[in-house]
Amino acid sequence: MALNAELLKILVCPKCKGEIHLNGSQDGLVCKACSLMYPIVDEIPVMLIEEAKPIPPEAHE
Amino acid sequence: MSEPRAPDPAKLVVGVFLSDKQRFEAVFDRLVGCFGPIDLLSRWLPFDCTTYYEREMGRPLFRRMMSFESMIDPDTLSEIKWTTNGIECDSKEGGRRTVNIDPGYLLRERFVLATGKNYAHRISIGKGIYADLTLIYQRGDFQTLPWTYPDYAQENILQFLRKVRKKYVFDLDRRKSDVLREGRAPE
Repeated sequence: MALNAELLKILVCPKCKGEIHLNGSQDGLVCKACSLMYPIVDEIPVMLIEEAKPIPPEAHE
Repeated sequence: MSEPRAPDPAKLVVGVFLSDKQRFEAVFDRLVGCFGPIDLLSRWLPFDCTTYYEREMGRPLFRRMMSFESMIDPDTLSEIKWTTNGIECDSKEGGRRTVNIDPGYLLRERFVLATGKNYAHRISIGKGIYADLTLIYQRGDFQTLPWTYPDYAQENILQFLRKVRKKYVFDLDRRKSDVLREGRAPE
């Protein structure tokens, strides 16, 4: 996965401006506070609020 | 003779710095209202390469970088700068700005910032605004120039811009392939 840890240190959730982290399958960036997953397409995070997928709280990892 | 061609649409990138982080949300909402949804937003980055703004805006200063989903016509950068100047003016307290907004655009080849300050390397783009060629993209990465603002040479900003560029190139290529597939004229 080319989406490196350094980059994750730079980006935040566009909705709450809080922390995000890579999900377990490494195909999305998760904001726990908003319960949203921003998909990663071709190694590019799609951080549009309207394209984020709601996730149940227990699925945050 | 070279054939004049319209430039590619560009990615709008805006840096916002301020002292009071609580003010960011209102500025962010104004920017989104003017330019549409953002697609990348940075965390707070230190703005500590210059003390130039501290007398007016206080210290320490913090910055967020953001890029917008919709692409812009590069020729509109001076108008965009006027818009962000208006937001800065609205933020004034006691005649002093509480927020500084730096709009620019990114193309495959370069990153350009808008400024109201003339200088030897800056080109007038109308309405009293100048274009500052801040970074060029060569040999697979952004390259600084002798006049590049020190903060835009910092790794955290460059990392952000690399990701913006990757998204931009992806969107631009998809847009061009859509045009070819549909057989319509480019916008």
